[in-house]
Amino acid sequence: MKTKVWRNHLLLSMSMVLAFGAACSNSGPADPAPVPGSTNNEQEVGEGGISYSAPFADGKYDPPIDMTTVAAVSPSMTFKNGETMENNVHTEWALERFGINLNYLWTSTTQNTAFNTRMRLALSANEKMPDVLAIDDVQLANDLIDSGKFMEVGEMWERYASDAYKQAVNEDPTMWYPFMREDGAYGIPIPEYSWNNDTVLFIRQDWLDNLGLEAPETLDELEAVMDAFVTQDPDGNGQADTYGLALGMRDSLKPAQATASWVFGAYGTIPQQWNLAEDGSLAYGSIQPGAKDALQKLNEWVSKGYIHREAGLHDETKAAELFTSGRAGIIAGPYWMDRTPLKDLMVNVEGASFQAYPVPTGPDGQAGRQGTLNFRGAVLINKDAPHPEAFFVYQNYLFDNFATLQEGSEFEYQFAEGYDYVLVDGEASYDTNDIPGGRVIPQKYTITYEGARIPSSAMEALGWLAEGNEPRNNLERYHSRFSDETRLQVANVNLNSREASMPERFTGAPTRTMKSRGEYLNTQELETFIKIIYGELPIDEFDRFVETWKSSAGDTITEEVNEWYNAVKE
Amino acid sequence: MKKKDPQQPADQLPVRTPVRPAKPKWNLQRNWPLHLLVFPAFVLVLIFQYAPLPGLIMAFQEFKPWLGYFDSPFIGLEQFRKIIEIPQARQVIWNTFLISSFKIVFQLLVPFVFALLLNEVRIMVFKRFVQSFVYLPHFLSWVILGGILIDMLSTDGGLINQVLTSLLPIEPIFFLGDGDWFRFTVIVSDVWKDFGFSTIVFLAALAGIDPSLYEASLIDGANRFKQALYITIPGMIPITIVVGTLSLGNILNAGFDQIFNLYNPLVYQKGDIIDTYVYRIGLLSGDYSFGTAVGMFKSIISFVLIVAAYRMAYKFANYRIF
Amino acid sequence: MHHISTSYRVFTIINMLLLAFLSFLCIAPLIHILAVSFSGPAAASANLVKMWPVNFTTDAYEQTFGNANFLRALGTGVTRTVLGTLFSMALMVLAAYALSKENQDFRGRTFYMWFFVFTMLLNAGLIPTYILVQKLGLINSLWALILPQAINIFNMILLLNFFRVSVPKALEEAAYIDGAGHFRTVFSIYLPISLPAIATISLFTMVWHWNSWFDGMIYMTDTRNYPLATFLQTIIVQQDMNQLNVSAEDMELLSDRTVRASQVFIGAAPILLVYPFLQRFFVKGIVMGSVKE
Repeated sequence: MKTKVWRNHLLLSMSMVLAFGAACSNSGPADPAPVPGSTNNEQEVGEGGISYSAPFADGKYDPPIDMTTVAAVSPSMTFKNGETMENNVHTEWALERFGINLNYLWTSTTQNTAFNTRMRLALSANEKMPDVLAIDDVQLANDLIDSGKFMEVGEMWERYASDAYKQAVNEDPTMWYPFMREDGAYGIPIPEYSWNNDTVLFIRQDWLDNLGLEAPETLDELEAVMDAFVTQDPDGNGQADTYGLALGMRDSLKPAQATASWVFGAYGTIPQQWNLAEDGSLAYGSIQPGAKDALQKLNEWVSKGYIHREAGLHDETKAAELFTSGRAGIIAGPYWMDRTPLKDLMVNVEGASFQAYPVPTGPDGQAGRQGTLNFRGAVLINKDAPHPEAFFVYQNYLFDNFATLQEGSEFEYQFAEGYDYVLVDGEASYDTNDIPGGRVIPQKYTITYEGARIPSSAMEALGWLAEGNEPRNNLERYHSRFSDETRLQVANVNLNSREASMPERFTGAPTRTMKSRGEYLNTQELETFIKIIYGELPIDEFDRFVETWKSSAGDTITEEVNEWYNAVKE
Repeated sequence: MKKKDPQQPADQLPVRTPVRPAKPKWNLQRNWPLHLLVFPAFVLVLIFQYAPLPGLIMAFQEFKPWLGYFDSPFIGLEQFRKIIEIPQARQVIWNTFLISSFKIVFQLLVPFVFALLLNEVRIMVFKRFVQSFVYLPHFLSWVILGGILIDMLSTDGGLINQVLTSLLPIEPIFFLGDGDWFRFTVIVSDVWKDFGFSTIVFLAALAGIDPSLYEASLIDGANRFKQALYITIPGMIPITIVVGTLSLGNILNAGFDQIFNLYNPLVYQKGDIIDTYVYRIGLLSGDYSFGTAVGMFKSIISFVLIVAAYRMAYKFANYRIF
Repeated sequence: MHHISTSYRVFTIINMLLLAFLSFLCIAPLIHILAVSFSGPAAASANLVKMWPVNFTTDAYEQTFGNANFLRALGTGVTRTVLGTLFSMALMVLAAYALSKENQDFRGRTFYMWFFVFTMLLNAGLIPTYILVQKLGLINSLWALILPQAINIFNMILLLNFFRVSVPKALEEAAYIDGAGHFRTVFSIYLPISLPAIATISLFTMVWHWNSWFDGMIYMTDTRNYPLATFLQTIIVQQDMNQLNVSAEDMELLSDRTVRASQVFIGAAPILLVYPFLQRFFVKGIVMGSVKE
């Protein structure tokens, strides 16, 4: 206790010396931040109620202002014309359009969580934090918020965000949850397309046809199909070398690809995540009675040879190999698997084809699949940012124009001609061969990872097109260019299984007990489950596991999680 | 005195110079330039290794990056208590110790024998090719090798199991799914990957042996086996002791990349090591304090072992490695 | 060559067969990876490539070589390796020479030795080291990649042991009587005699420099300063399980195995080319025979 008081005291005096204007408490920013932009240096009030902190006219700062940020360089960002993260078509555009000079304090790759490490180092070394910062790791975001260097943004968002921006975020108010504190929101969520990673089943259509089978709708029917895939030589090569289902269970029971979570879903739970219970509280999926039934089912399938003996050793990629090399008949995963990696199947196996189907229903007629969160992280704004409103100038514009590829705007086709599209005889072409120097995607250079995205827009555009409709706007025209029949079929299945989706409900930073005991519980769980599936442990071990889970910290974690949930729900 | 070969005159082996009467003069005139020679290395190590050491204080704190070393809450030995008290700690430490001990022994033995065998090859071209080939796997990452190993060791058509089942009347072996076989596989594949690279040190030691020793032994009528026994092997012993002792510093590093890319829930019990364990903890807690504490814990163990080995090398082989 | 017995001939043959087999074991996976790097992505991702490319293509290599920043990173990588190795070797050879003396010949040696050995065991870790480098103003400087790890204690101890084992005391004393100082002794006696050892330690240092990517990542804030190893890290697309929401387009850009396989060769080729040149130093007793008297 003594240390704590002393520490607070020191912090207090330190922040006073630095004239931060607000004191920090040990649990992060405590005092409500002063209304941003309301300090004495505001110049004029522009349209949309934004008070500008620097001379602003005709949609831009004049003279240009500096805005510092950092960049997570993902390997999917490619550059052309010798451009770099620090200097490219996007930075030029920001300067031209808004008079915002983007200044990158540092950049780091996202590989091996190098960006997060770099961020923590910057924090530890007390480096200057950027004015604006996008972060896609909830825990790190919370650490940054706790550092007290970032401001409450909820109020500013209310006042400054454009209607389009607001609509996008309001599609799912739970997006704010991870970044909430008692006195407000400290991160503006970055919306991402919905249903991106929700599970659908991919089944070898040619095998179904060869054996004269119907697509399965229930677990029992699925079992019959798998049995036929294993025993009736669906590929007709005279060898018993096929599997029913490809699973990758090495790291988790719910990886995005080759997941097993839908088997649990058929029994009403998704393992290894927090689900919404009937009483409105959050409950851990792996300890529900349904999990036991699912384990029993999976064990049965392994012993009958429907699943590869080494599925416990396989990660997602290894499991997908089984499908793309033509040895497994079913794989479950996100809709986008139709291209990477599943389209390789048709190259490798002549005459092969697959179709997407909804995940099967269980004994009581319900289906369940793992869901996707509707955001990709959050934007934090520095307390000391000289021009905090500049982010809204930038982001509003992207939501107003880029998110929908607004007709008549500069983003009518995509980000920049000669980069992600080119006009050939007045028609936009996205073909990398038409674009001099190849196609690169500048929207990935933007502060918020992908420019601006409205969660429901992509899948709904695909759904509309899947029903055979003509595109109604530029966004749908854009998607129609990128979608073949398979993509539309898969998207349609995905969209129609919306009810079955069960996304992770606990989106806060790991709780105190999770940090101290979570690893132990997770390891025990995965080990027990896999061993049950492999038949190395009897199914009754499940009950023992649930008991130990509860008694060794699991119950405490449940309390903490619900405490968090009740706090943010309000 | 170093271990002596009965056939060789003593002054042909590297031997500690006995104390000489000229010692004082030697000291005064020659000492300051020696200090000067060590000085640059000394300064660099002082700055880059010693200056950051106070940062280890975070092992005794609940370190919060934004609070820094001065303001992070001090929690004493809490992190260390965690290391000992966690339920699977004993198992994990034992796994680490076991796997790395075997790795250390074989990573010493195999290159040693390999260098000897290579030394017997007279055809230079062949020798060079072999040398270059065995050195290559060192440059492959475990991310890639992991995938290859899973295929080769598969119970369903993997190359190794195919060969084994056709030669021996056995069932396919579940190399990566059975705890004991997993340890075996990890050790063998690690030795395979790095023995070629480790051989280089021994080749350098071989190259340092005075050729006149061989000439003299020929005159004495020694055959090649005798030469290997009395000249080559004793010539390699000092470096072997050095490498062996120094590798004890890795006694609690069983190879994170390798295990991380090969292990799976079926072998957690016997295959989980300290580093993979700390990694999983770090994923959840994201704080560096625990990792730092574990690092210190490992350092203390290594330190004790290295000092013990250093003493033993001095006592039994009469060789002071540093 | 006399006394070549039959049993030795048999041994030679068995020995060579064994070595050939071991070589094959070591090179087979490499051939496989090489085959993957020249294969079509579909076959590679379904794991259908064995030891020969399927649907031969050089796309994987073109993708990397076509990257505008590749050459610059290659240059930085080479500079860093050459400079770093020279710098390290110079300091380590000098220090190892001094430390190879006996305790009675070099007072204070014991202190230095334990001073160095201690750091081999206790490492301050990432954060303090980073803060130090930052405070020294080395961020974005090549020296941040060279200085912190310049003295590798393991290598230095190896070096000093090689010095002790291979340099005959008599020779050194002869030089001393001739009036040679320490510097001349190092350059005219120690270096030529210990070439195999120097070559070995140089190789270790080079390989370390060439392969380290993490320091480049944290000490270089500007992507244009990345050395090759760091640069290669930024262009291999792997999946990150911890991402909240993976965008579908990212998954489509996920680099296939062929690119990853090609990186192995692009990344390792320069350092592999160095080895054959160093091999000549492993030929037995270069100077020894002639100077020994």
